[in-house]
Amino acid sequence: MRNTALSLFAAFLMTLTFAVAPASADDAATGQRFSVSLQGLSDFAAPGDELEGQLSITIPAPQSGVRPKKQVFVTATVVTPFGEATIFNSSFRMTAGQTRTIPLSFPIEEDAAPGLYRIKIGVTIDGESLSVGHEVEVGGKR
Amino acid sequence: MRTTLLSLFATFLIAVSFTTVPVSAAGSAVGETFVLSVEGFPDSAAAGTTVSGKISITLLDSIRAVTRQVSFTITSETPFGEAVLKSGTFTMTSGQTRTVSFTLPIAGDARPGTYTLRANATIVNETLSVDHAIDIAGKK
Repeated sequence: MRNTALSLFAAFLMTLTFAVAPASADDAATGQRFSVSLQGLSDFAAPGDELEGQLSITIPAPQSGVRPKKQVFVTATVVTPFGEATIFNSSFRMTAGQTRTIPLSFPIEEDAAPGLYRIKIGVTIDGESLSVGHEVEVGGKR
Repeated sequence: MRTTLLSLFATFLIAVSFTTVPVSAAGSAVGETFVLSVEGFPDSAAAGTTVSGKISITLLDSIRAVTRQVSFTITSETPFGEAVLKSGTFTMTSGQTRTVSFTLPIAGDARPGTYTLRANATIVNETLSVDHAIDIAGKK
């Protein structure tokens, strides 16, 4: 009986191990006026690949009254030896009480140097800035 | 006498060319409406230091004086393409030269290697670029 229970437990653990394969690390940040989360960017990419994920921005609805529209500024930077450099920026309006999900796609150059690179995505709404980050290992060509 | 003077002058020029050791390389690009130059950035630097340099834009003379909007960027090559380190816009008049100086800190943990900075400038429909490679050595 005890052996059977142990075997079942071991089988359960093995199933968990196989089922949970972390392919990406996500990040999130919450401020006073909004929250932001970054999902789906993979931890490893080869030159020529496309690094894809999504950025979700949520502006909570006000307790009462009209739902104002807010201007949202999004900037993606990558850390270079000379500091953070901008690879993408965008601006749009969204209504409080909504969540907007933006697909992200970062093509990786064919001649990219292998190494660990940090991408930072900053979001600014109403003077408040939040940032989320992701590290990707760019490896040799597959 | 004239030949001797010429020989001396030639010797002097040769000597000068050997004694001038370039510590920084300058580059320029000449377009139809303007000239873009990059000066002062060093060819090599150590991690944890800063590098400085400048870009100069000369709007070429035209028959009629014109004022143009200039936009410029300093970019660095990354695995995700050219990424913008600095950018700006200003207006200038034909015949003028405008110079913009930059100081860029090099991260203390920067990987040694050769990195290319690219200066880009656009006036109306013309874009010019000048590259400058910097060899980054490990932290001193």
